[in-house]
Amino acid sequence: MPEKPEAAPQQAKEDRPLQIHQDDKPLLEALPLPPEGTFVDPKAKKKAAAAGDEAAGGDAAAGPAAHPVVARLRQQFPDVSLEPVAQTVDGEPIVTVPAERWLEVARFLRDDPELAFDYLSDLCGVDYKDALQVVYHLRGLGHDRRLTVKVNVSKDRPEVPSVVEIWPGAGWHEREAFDMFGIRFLGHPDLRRILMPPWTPEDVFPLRKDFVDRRPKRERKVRPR
Amino acid sequence: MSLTREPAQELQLDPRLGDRVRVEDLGGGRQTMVMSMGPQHPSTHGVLRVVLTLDGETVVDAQPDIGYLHRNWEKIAEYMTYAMTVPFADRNDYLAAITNELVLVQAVEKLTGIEVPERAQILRIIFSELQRITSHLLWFGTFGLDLGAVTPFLHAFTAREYCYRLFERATGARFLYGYLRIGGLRNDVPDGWIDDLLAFLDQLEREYWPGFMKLLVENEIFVRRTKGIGVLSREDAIAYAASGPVLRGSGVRYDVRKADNYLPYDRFEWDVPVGENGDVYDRAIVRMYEMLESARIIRQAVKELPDGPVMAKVPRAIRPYGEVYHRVEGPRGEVGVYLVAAGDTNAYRARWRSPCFVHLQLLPLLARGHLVADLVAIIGSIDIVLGEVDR
Amino acid sequence: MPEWLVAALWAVLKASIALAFIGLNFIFLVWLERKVSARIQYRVGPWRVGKPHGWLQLFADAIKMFSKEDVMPAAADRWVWAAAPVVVFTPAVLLFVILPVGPNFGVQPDFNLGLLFLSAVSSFTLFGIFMAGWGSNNKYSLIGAMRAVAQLMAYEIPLVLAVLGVVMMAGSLSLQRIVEAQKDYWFVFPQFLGFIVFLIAAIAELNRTPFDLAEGESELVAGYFTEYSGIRWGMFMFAEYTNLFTMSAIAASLFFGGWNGPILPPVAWFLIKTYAFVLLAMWIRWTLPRIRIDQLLDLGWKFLVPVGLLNILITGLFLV
Repeated sequence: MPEKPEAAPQQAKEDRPLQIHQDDKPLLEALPLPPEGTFVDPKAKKKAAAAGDEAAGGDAAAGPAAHPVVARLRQQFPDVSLEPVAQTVDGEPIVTVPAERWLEVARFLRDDPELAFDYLSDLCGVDYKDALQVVYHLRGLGHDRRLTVKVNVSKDRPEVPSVVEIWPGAGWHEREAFDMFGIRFLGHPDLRRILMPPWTPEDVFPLRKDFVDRRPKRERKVRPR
Repeated sequence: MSLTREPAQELQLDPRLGDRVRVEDLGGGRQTMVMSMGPQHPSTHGVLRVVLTLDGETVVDAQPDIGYLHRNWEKIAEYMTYAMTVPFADRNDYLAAITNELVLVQAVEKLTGIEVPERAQILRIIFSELQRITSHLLWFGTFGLDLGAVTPFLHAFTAREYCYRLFERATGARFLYGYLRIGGLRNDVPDGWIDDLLAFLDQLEREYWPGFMKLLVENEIFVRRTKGIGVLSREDAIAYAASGPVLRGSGVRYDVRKADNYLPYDRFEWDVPVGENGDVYDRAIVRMYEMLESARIIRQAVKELPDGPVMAKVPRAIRPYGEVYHRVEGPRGEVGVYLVAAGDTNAYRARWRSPCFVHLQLLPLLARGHLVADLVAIIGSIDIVLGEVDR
Repeated sequence: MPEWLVAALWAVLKASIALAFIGLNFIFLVWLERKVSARIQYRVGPWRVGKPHGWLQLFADAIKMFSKEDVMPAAADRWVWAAAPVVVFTPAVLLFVILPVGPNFGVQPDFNLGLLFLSAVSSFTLFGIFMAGWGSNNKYSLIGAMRAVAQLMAYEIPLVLAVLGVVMMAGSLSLQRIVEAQKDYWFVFPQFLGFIVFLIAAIAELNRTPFDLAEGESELVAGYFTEYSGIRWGMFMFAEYTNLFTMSAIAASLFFGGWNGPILPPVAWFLIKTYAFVLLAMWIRWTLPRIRIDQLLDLGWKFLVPVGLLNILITGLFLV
């Protein structure tokens, strides 16, 4: 649709164009990656810091870093940084794995009989100010261990190894993450857009916080109030 | 006539659709035919398009093409407060709105640490099981339609109508309720509602369910149409993260209700029906028996329903921190929500894990080598709701 | 008046009556199907248009059908596409020629090649269906037409085999003679195997559920007539329902004594028996799911044909 010239004020009263989005700036704001691995209430953090000085040793033992799943991973991959280790509000450990070692770790997570995360419950992307993040929620059948794995990638080269060969069910989730965030999954057999129409411009990723709807403005005649 | 042979090549049906389809030479002058089934088609359960590569009537390849109902719930949820997101979550899987609300509401409750009163917990069980029954009733009807039997559809709708009347009386809406609130339920059930619920269960168990079995599931044609079709092996089911009746149809005794116990399901005695072969028939049978199990849970839950409030004290504005991945067992499988909260009234990231989305990617695997008629049965047996696939 | 003119006028009169009956019968059957399916499905069916029981609905349906837009697909094979409904429609009407409505009453019931005519003309429908499927230039239509061809070929043979047993007993191909031969007992008793084969094959021949693969709605949208609308679509429906009536009439005549019966006039008996079969076909249609194409062909070739042959063998042994 060609751009219409700006309507005169008198006309605008009769058919005022209804704007759907602000065109120039995104409405949402990206936050920087939380250094703790997950967003923590600053008040609680201060309180914990005040209380944690004397009981630091005890706290660390109870915290997510001491979780058996994390401990097992540390034991197997002493050279892989799992930091920051955190936990979700319901006590599920979160580890952050560097992208270049992720495939190796993933294979171990599935095949190790002590971990046996054979069920990739979900895979999604998250957009932060300084990085894109892929989040894997791992479960297993026959045990109740849970694990969230995060892989951070830079926005300049958002490339993560695909886990399709480990968990085939990741196929469409990865396509969706590619579609929505532009994260490229290396080794994915069929990485193309899945939900967005195929004629979407190549640099448009709707779930990124800086997404702006640059389609031609839709105009609708509304009765002036 | 344009039914002339195209040369064997990589063929794009329409460059704007972005399909990758290959017309293959099968030798002896035969070629595969590419057929675009949907998005307007009677049995694609919404707006699904499947690009079929056919050899005669045999499916060589079936590539689902989705996104026709895409409205990006995840983005819109970032704009809205947690409470505003709940009614919109109804629209994801519009046939099982209660479980959609449940998963979201419980995720927010986990984030904020709100304790839900016991009566509300038990009522949530009752409603989500009733929702499972309605959803399976609709599946039964449409699955009959997929197999060419029209009557079961209307019989199932008769029973379903009864359910929806119950829903309407309790929640004020038939389909998209907005009934579950963060911290409990919007309102308590009206007087006499429980009796009517039990009367419905009686009728379901005594009249509807045996009738459905006799009318369709035990029919010789039905059995022949479904046995051995679309077999999903145990290993594939787990590897592809299938869930719900699809996973259990393949013989995996796994149910999020048992595994996560997100509502006090462990108080009640109930079984998880599983299939043996993972074919269409087993998935159908699992769903049929799940209806009875749901009825069984509701009966026990009604007995244990305590008095008390149905809504906890909830702060006016919720500004939680942290993140949570919560999942519940919807009628179609594992519905999950991943919320990242950064201290705002809106979620920083809201992710919807839809079981249908996961199941639909099994379609090429299941359909290969079967006939077009079987493909329709397979689509019916994985029970997709396109509203949830596309979100 | 010269004799030939009388004969000609008489023929025209008979044909007009038959055609009028066919037309009315068609809309009545449509209404009946809607009512029967409604009863089976806990519904009431047509109700509003005309009291009681929405009887005016049948005319409303017909008017609607006539007034719908006639859309021809741009890529259709024009002539083939346009001719197909006529080709399907004509044999359906032609079959009325051999129906014995009463003793020596009907268009031409004492046609000495009656049953041969039946099998010849009824397979003519095949051409029309295939023309529709091919001419529409639609892949659903094409698959539907292919299915129809495979199906009708597979079921024409058992149909003829089943009829053959009756012919052997009556010693004639004329339906009139066959009905007269059933004065004392119905052929369904000695020919029970034949009747079963005939029933299944006839329903398959009529393209009705569980054998409605050619128009299998859930798979092929509407099969070979996906691209038809308005009156052209109506002609397919017309043919379908007329065939239903004809097949029922033939079943009644071959196996259930046709117009034979006490007290009531023969025409009444004929109609009662025919409509009993129509209702049976409707009952089956609204109860069963659809069979699959490979199962359909298996049933036709591997079950019905051998049973039909066995039936002929048994009949022959008894007659000898």
